[in-house]
Amino acid sequence: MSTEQRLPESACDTCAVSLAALTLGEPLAPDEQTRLLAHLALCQRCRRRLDEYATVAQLLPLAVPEVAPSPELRARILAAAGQTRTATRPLAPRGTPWAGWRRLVQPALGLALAALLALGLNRELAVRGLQAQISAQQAQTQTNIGIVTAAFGNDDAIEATLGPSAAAPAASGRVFISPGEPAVAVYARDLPQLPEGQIYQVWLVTPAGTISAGTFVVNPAGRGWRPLRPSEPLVSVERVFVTMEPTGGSPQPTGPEQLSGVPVRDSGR
Amino acid sequence: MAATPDSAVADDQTLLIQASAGDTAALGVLYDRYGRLVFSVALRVTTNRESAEEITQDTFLRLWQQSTRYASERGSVVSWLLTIAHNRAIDELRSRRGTSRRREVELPDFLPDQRGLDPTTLAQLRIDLQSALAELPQAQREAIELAFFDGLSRQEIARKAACPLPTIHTRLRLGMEKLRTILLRGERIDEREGT
Repeated sequence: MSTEQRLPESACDTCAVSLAALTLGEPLAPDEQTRLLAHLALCQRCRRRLDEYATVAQLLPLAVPEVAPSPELRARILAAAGQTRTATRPLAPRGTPWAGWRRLVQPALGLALAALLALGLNRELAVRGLQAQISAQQAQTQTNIGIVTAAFGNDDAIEATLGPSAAAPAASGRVFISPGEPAVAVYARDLPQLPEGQIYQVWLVTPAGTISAGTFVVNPAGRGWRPLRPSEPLVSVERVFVTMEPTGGSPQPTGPEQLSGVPVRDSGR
Repeated sequence: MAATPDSAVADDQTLLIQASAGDTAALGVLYDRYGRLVFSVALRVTTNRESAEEITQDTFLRLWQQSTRYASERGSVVSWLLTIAHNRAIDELRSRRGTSRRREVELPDFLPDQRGLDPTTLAQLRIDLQSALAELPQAQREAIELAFFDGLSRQEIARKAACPLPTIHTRLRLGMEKLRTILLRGERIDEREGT
């Protein structure tokens, strides 16, 4: 069954406002992010809009009139570079706020390619570069979209609001689970920063035992979200909790609980 | 280590490979290509030459430090540089205003592949963008510029423009819709809504 739906125009207009803000650089509030993600999971038209807005925003700096820096700047940069070795382990610069969304909703990549060609960029290089990225990302993207679509779009989806713990007193989050499928979407905020070698792991307590739903990391603001694919379909989940575990995850929880909640069926959708 | 004699005509990826081997001359060629543009974006945002030069230096040093990684990826050097410079500049602006907020996501993982951009193509692209912006009604263009170049939220734009928030929402949405129509679909907007 297709998960795409024809949503009301007003819903797409609201989504377009969020996408405009996001791609132009405004960090969205968690509630707005959640609503946007839910809409994108169902609306191909807005996934295309995201891709195209992001491309427009990426081009906007080129509209700035050029001004020359001081002639000494070049020498200063090269001198500083000469005293700094290139990093063997790269730093992690922050990027555009929409990059994470694009990682999830990438199927409109072909449109970006068409857009680039329409802009008159070098056809052969653009095709080669983008096709390589499409090949590398498409499988993962389709998986992610399937998970999120199932978790948000399934009328039978169950949702757990995650509450704080002594280890993470300010943390909160939500988990969406699609019954009968190995599909979970998790969103968490205000979690502590992960020490080196640690990762957050989501656990589902089922009648058959506690199983891992997957792992996630948080950004410098303590926020993390991602689609997860547990090892088996989920029929009944009695409790959800998050622990901090060694990178790579653990077979069973070993760290203190950071977040926890009890799922309830989301009958309001 | 010195750049090869072909450095001046090498593509960006080749220069990154040279830079990752410690070739500062290759970094110099990249600076010659994009230094003015990076500085101009930083200056547009910060309106301060000293800050803009500092941001430009930081941006190129980040490229230098991460050249190993970027030489192995199919990314656009100019887009990466502009993204880093723009983010740094906006952060500085927000810090000055006391409205510093950390952004959400880490590394730009997808960028339009512009490795083949020569100066002529880049110049044409810039003309197209300036032309597209000029086609927008002034209120929509200002809303987009306040968001992107001044780092203002929708609420802040509404206060600055003394408009209701829904009006700003409409301006941003219509403005971005028109830009994508003009830039990505090659169409022109005939009407001139004043929304």
